[in-house]
Amino acid sequence: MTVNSPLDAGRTSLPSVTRWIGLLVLVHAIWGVARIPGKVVMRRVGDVRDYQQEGAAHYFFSKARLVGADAIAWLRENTPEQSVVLFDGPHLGAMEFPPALLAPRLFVSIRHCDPASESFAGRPIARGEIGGLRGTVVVHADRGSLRIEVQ
Amino acid sequence: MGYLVDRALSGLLLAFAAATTVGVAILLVGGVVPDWLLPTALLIGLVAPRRVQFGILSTKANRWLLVAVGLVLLVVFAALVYGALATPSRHWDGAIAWDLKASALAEHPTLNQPLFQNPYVHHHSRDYPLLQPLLVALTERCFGCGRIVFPVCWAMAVGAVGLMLRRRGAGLSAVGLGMVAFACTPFLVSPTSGSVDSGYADATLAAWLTIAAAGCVLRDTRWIVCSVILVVLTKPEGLVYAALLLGAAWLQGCRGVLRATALGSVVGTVLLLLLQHELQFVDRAEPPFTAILILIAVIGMMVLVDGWLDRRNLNAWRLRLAGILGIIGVCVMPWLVQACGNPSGSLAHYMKDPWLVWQRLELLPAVVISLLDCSLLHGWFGVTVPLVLLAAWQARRSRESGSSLGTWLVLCLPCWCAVFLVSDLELAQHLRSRMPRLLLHAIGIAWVYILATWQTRSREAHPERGDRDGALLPS
Repeated sequence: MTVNSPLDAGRTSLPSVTRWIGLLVLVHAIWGVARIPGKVVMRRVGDVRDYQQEGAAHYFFSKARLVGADAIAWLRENTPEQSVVLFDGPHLGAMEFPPALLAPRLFVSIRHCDPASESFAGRPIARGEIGGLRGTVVVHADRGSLRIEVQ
Repeated sequence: MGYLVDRALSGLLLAFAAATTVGVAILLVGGVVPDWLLPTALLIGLVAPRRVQFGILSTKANRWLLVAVGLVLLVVFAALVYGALATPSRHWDGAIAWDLKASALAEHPTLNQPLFQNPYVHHHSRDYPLLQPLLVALTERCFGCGRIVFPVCWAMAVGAVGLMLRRRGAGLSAVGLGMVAFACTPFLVSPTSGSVDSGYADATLAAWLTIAAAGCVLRDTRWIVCSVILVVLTKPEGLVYAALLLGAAWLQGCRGVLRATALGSVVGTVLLLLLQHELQFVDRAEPPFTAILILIAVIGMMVLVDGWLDRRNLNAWRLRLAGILGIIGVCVMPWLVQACGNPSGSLAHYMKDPWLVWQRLELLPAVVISLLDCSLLHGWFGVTVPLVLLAAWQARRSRESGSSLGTWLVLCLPCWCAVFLVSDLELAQHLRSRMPRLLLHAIGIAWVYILATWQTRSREAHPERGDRDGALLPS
């Protein structure tokens, strides 16, 4: 290796690159620390407060611009926990939330379970009454909304 | 202090890996995971013998800097604990997929329940691995605060970064600065989809990958084996990251890393394939024994060939052999997906037709622009990318300080791009929701790589400073 080889040039530049890395690590750390009061703590506190005040269903549905938080509330009040609730429509979109928000209720598509059945997977099928009409509860879903009917 | 942190981190890692491995095995045979499993694993993890060496400190650290570092980490940890425990998940996938599985397992820690057994029960991402839900459920049943797992994972990752620096002889000031820089990375700690307390598994996966990366730098077999098992069993992408680490270690000829990764990958992937199959088919089809045998054969062959190449001094052949193996792998991938027994599964969705990448190559510029946009322009990852580039420039002639990590990061790039090219989802929406979380997975690998390179080169450049490593650090 000669004095003027590229390897030598690389070696002499090592400390300056190290210095740049050190400087950027410091910048990154200061950036991260500066965000703690507003973005890490207060925004988190705000999210928790909104969730607790609005309730899970309204919180998720309003954030995702979905319609049907009232349907979740109705199901919670009017169907037994250990029941199977039937739904009609795509399982993606708004219909993704009911199984999680209403656990341990199970949700099964009417394509796989006749609404006239009494039970599914050993659990009773949820029945209810809306506007004087009594029957099997069916959640009608599309990508952006949920509504309840009885059949 | 360093010894205690190492003891706690290694104990927790061993306990989590053991509890979830045994727990998943119990789920697979149709049993009920016992409540004593996690406390027993924690006890074993904490008393398991461990011998590590720390560099000797020859200079005093700046006391005020250390106090400030401690306070910052404490405040962030407290915010994450509050965010995790105050409510269930407040973000989409966290609530609809992960929380649902965790609450079902917390109620009955067995797969013998309609949610998992009946294919007609609405169940999002049915075949996803169950490590995170199981860990949350077991913690919930034992201690009543299951979601504490999320901030604990963050603390473990931060601890691994600090221990990586400390065990390599870095001064306490550099250790503190490195920990804070990594720990406060915006996307990791902001209350957003994918962050630590969002309920998603992305930050959990990132934590295990961070520990694996630190284990690679320290050649810590226990860390690598345990974290690779956890990586594979946390999310379907974990299998890909484990394969990429195997490839990186093989290419770089890092035998210790290769063997530890091979062991972790075999244990994790065998459990994952059987579990995915059980969740998707519930005993209605033959388990994927062919795929498991192929997997063990390929990994075993990699280890054997690595030793052979090393003995014959044929290391220049590694890249060529890897290229040939990669092309063969892509060609047989559709068949391999079928052999895995779950061709409609979440990972198979991306792997069943790898040639789509070529057919949709015109989408690549949009994907690359999104990658640059997410990694540089929003501030989600601070200055991590410029730092990785600087570290790569710094380490370009070095085979030390985690050269397999640099290769691991480089191998991630084509995989991230391929995800979007083979997917049927609408590209703009897919990029918006997925790209930041993919980048999050590698954040710990990147920071371990940056800090290991920085620490090594600082020591070389300033030998008179003994263990003092940061050229910019206050004296």
